[in-house]
Amino acid sequence: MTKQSKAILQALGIKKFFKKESNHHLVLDHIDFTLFENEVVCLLGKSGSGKSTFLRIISGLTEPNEGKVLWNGKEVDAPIPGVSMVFQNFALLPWLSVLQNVSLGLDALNLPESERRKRALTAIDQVGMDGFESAYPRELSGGMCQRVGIARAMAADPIVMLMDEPFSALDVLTSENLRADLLDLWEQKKGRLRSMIMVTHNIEEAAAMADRIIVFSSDPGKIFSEIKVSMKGDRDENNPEFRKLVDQIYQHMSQAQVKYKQSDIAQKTTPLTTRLPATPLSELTGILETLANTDDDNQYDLSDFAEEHLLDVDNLFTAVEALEMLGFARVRRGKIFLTNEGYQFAEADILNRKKIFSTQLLTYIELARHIRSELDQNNDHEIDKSILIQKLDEHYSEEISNEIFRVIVDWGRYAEIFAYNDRTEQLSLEDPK
Amino acid sequence: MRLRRFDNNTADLTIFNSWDIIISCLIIVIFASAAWSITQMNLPLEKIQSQVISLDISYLPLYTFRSIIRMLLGLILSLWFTLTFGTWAARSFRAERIIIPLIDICQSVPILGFLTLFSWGLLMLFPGSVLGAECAAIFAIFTSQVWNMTLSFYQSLKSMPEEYNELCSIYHLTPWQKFLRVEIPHAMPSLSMNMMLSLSASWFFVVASEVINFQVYSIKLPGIGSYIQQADDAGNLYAIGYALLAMLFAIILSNQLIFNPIFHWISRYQNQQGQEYRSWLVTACSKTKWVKSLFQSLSKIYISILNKKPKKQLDKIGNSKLNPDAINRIWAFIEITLVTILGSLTVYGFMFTTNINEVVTVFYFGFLTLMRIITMLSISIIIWVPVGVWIGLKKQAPKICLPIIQVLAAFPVNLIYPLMTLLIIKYQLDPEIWVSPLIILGTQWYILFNVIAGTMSIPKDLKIATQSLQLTTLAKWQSLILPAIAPDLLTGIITAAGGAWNASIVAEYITWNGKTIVATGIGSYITEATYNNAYNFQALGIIVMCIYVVAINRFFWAPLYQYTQNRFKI
Repeated sequence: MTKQSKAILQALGIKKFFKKESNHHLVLDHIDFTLFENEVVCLLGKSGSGKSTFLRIISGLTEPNEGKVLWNGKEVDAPIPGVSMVFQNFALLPWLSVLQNVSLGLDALNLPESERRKRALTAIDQVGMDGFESAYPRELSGGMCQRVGIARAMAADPIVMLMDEPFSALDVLTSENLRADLLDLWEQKKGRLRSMIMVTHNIEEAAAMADRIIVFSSDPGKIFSEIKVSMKGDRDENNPEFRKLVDQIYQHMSQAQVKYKQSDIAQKTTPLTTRLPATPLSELTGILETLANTDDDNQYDLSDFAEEHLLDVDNLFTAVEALEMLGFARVRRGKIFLTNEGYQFAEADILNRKKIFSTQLLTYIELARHIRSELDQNNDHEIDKSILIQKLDEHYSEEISNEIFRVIVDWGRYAEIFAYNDRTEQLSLEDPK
Repeated sequence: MRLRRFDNNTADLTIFNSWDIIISCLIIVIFASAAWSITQMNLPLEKIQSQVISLDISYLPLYTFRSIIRMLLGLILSLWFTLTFGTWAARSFRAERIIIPLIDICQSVPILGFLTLFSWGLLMLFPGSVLGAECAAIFAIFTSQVWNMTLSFYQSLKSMPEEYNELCSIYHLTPWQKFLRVEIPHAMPSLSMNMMLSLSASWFFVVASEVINFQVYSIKLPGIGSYIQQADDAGNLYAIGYALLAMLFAIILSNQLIFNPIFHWISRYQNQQGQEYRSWLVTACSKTKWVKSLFQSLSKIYISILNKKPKKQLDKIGNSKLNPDAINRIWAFIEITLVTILGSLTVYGFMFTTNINEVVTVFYFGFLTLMRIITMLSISIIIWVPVGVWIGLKKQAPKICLPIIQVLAAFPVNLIYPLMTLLIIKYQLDPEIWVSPLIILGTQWYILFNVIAGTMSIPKDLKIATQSLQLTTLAKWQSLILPAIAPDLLTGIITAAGGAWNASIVAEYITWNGKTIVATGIGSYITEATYNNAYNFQALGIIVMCIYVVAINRFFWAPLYQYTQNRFKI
């Protein structure tokens, strides 16, 4: 990878929004990206950062609203021949055998039957699934299913292979094993294969595989930074250089979140229409308790913390975001530490916790404050869900609006600052029963 | 395994074995007899009219076979309709907005009432031939089979995982490849269940549609339906019993030859434990050599035709550049025009063919029938909900009970009418009351089916939770069972109510051994008008019934269904 390689795939000024009747929810905002020959690129980001959507746009599956995708210099307007995709949930057709599933990738290639069979069998061999040709997907474990998925992608003899979180549905050991095999395949470079793009929210995975890591920030999805990896040695846990790389990625990831919130050192209130992170309260409490019990000045490396408590990036950063919003914790340079309130909360009993939580909620979360003051002012002390949803809908898709609503109801109920009746879909001051 | 296959290959060089002979014979017999009975459908009309339906048992196999062929032709027609219109509705937003509401209405409208009108048209189309009457019968059977099949197929296509669509695009499958290799297999489990239910339900229509009375014609198509009618007229209970046995046999046969092989194929890839289906037919076929290689080469040809790449690059179906808002407006306009035209035609029909008193009377008759239906529905709910819940909660019960109930449901209740008539005559009962059970008899099963299905789908942890809370039976029903089965129960009631309207046309006007028993209601009104060739009254009756059905669906069932869906969905 010494000489500068040729560009294969280029995305220029990509913008994508999901349409709603009156307004648009921006998913991807102005993305420029180039894929070169001989590289593995990982797109890394929280869920909801639009990275999967971006993958679908550069494959030609989805059309961007603005900008264009170039394949060898030509504009793309349909799925590109020469690009294969590996899916998160395998997308194997349950009514086809392994062999039939793999040959499905060749069906459109107009090959003679014998050649199709040969290529399919070779691909099955490559991923180590020979002997399973006539098995049906339901007989296979998740790891085996994804091997078949990779075989199907390889059989089509792609120039670029796209992978959408290929290991996220698998357990840790299986995915590490499969990842190693995939890298072997990549190093052998059979056929026309030139480059791979992998979407992931697993930092270790990105560190282990990528030549280049693109970090996405969310709402709207943007490219936050790019990390070039030029490691020579083995990429395993024991290699200090590898650990450094992982820490570096964690820092980028946490900064990506900070930048999106535009908050500096001083704690600011969270504006009315900010997307609230949907982390279960029990998880927040758990994290606070853990942090309070650490020995060294309640400070923790995010990467260590994630690894020790088996949190994936998605959970981790969503939870961290929630803690920061509520003023329970801060993140600086990839390290997380508790605020005074966070410490008090962790040490308090159940009733006091509720009190602390309600103070924080009313101080920092404007949506909670808004609901409470509306409730106080209304004659019947009630608000319809639809009114709040309408407000949120101006900025978000219906799905996200509902998610935000669920979060605020969850928080508000816990803090006992308002009640909610799901049957009447009304928020109220007092829950009668 | 491998070793034995090797042995077979060396030791046995013959092209076919004994299994081949059996299966080939079976195929030839099926094809030949089907071909023969289809030629029988084009006989001159006089010949059929001079023929008398014999109650002799030796004729019964032939009659049954002819009826089965009609049902299968109806099923093929339904399948064609399903694959075309179901797919169209799923692919095109515009078609969806027309087709789905239309099917919804067709599903709940009394098809039987239209039968005479259809046969009239079809008899004109094939003058002097029995083909018109055959087509009318097949069409009636078709209408009893098709709607739930189309809806299930449409819903399967709509609920297909997005990844399958992406898979097809990224590997550039042609629309045909996608349809045949992805969409149909995906829809197959629910489609085949619905086909089986449809075939069961259509027995009722076989019995009702093989005898067509129209002006000077009284056509009795040779078939099990005519046989039963003949037995009714002659008051021959033995013949009814034979017909029952013949139907039971036909149901078993159709399960063995059609549905078991399909279920066998599906169970290979479906992820349900303990639902392994075995079909002797498939097993036998897999033991053949010549037949197997014939099938294999046929499927190879089929696949290679399928894989021929069309010249032009495809993709992008229905991506018209027209402004979608404009299209919506155009279609909304078309819809409104259609409704207006239909509405004004109806009003015109009312104004000029009948007087207003008649209309009021018919609405009153409709109300009487409605009362019957409501009473009977309530009674069957009281009976079947506890039974269904009991069956659904037992671990082993569904396995044993479901097939039995399926056979029971297939039984056309027309067969029980004579019995009821006998009772009414013998004990001097009031027909206005005692005819009512017949209305619900055929459709009550939907309630039972759905209650069983609903109970079985109650999550296990909820059942355990109520157990550990040691709730009383009453509290358990209130807090768990009734809310949990509510959506399913409602689906069952809606289907049963729809079927009941249809059944009233047959059930409120029964003839047995020359005696006629009439209960006042809209069903008997329509049937009487048909016998008297009073078409304007018949049409009036049908329109009023349609108004009742559609209005009740729109203003009562639909909102209620929406409510239970939102409220009780687990």
